[in-house]
Amino acid sequence: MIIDALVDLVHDKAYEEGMPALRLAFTHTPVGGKTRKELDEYIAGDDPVTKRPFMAEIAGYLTQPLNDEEKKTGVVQREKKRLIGPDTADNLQKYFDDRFWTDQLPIIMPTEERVAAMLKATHHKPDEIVGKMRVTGEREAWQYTVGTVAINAVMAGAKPEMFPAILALAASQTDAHSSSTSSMAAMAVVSGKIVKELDLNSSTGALGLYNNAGALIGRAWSLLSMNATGGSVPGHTYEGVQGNPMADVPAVFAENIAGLPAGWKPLSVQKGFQMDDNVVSTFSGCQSQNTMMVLQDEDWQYTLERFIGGLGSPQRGGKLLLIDPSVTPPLLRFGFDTKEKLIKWVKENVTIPKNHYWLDQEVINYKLGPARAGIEPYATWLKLPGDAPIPYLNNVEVVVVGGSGNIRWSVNECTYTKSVKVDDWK
Amino acid sequence: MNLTRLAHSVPPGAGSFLLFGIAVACAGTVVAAEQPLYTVLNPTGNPPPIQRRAMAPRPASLSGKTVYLVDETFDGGDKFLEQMKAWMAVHMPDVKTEFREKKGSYAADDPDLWKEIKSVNGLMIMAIGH
Repeated sequence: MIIDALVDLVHDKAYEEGMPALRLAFTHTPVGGKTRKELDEYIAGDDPVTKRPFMAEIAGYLTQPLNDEEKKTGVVQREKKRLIGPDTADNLQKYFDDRFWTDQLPIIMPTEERVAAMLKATHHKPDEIVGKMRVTGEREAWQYTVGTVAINAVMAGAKPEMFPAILALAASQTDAHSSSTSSMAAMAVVSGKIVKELDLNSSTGALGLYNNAGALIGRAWSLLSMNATGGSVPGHTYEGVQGNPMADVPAVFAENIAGLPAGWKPLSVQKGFQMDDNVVSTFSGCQSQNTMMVLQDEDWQYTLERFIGGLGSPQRGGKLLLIDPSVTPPLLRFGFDTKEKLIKWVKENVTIPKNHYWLDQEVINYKLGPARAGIEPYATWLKLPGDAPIPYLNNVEVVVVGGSGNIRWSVNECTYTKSVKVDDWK
Repeated sequence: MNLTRLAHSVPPGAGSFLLFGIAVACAGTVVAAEQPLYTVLNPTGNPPPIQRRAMAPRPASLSGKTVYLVDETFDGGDKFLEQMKAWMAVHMPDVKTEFREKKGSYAADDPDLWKEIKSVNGLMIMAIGH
């Protein structure tokens, strides 16, 4: 049984699991937040999809003999046609748009010649497998090759010199278009000599609008994330309830190395790479960005805790602090002479009372089951007294970026995911 | 925007497996003579093979059977199943019902529960809340 809003998705899932004729009953959307009386009416009423009496339908599903289709076993291979056309650019654009193989914006036609030119920017073979993506953790994983990444890079309008960075993002296997109903986006931070070579922005407008290289690399990552899994199709492989303006083109930007205070290491070095290594670091689950001005000496602890803790469900353990160089002096004054000290303070001091934590619907959905199954730390958190503080953040990162046009910084609902060396994909 | 369009390459629930290639067999047909023609590469990844699985055989009747009402812990599924259990007690008195919350996260396997259901030759209705 499932809500009728997810009718396409659940049929897809049944298909992927090898039972395309799985007997599914639907109830009205939503179930969450309804009174028992309202649920009684759902149960006594009709399935909103099939229009049959709900309970009689379920009884039938449990007792009707299986038909031949429902008894089928064996392996089904799915093939795809390599080439499409010949046709006009207008018709091909529509063909791609209709299948959600684009971001609904004009693309560069991925001809064999253009893709071959892109492939010259790497020594890797076109048929080499780069990785797998899935639209959520429960859906099937689709595989993609160097050639697939090149096709999407051409469509995005990326230049061949950007291709190794795009391949590194692909190798991170970070899906920039998760199908979560919470409408997630993604970001990436680029480090190393490649920042100068590609003219990636780390200053004013780095996260958008003014970062041409970042926008093209980000769009290539975005299109790959859609197409690696067969297209990002609303209702099927994209379920973001409201969508997310940060998802159109994932922000791909550089850390402002010149703006790092003494003792603060670049993100790539924090992740174990050398200062000069070319590295992409991905962030996923990004849902919102909130900016504020410089912290005051008199109440920075209160403000920091409120500002970071006020953003998003406590179910999500990730936060990305994007610090403009202009706001680092007070942070140093507060004792944060390394990024690691600031991260430790945030993890220890941004908390939520136990009672409120376990009443958060996302926490109920994702953490209550593991807590009841004895998985830590959730099992222990479930047993705490009512007002005990729960330090729920477990994935906090700090990146310095911005042009210091004002004493502003931001906290982002974003989770660090993976760092990949670009040079491995040249 | 019409979100259904031609987006879904494999019709869900159709009970038959169409080759993915059918969906990409032919692009648009309206060709303006003066426009150049392109042949382009398919940008999609490669789906894994699907292992078809036969569904569980059904009993002829629910009379005397135990039906497990299993919640996977998403929004409101537990409350919905509790109301369903109450409905069945009134309208299907010869059917025994057991409410269970699946162990672990919502997508985690729960082999102990499946074992329990099989041990009593029971049936299962799973609710996916939302």
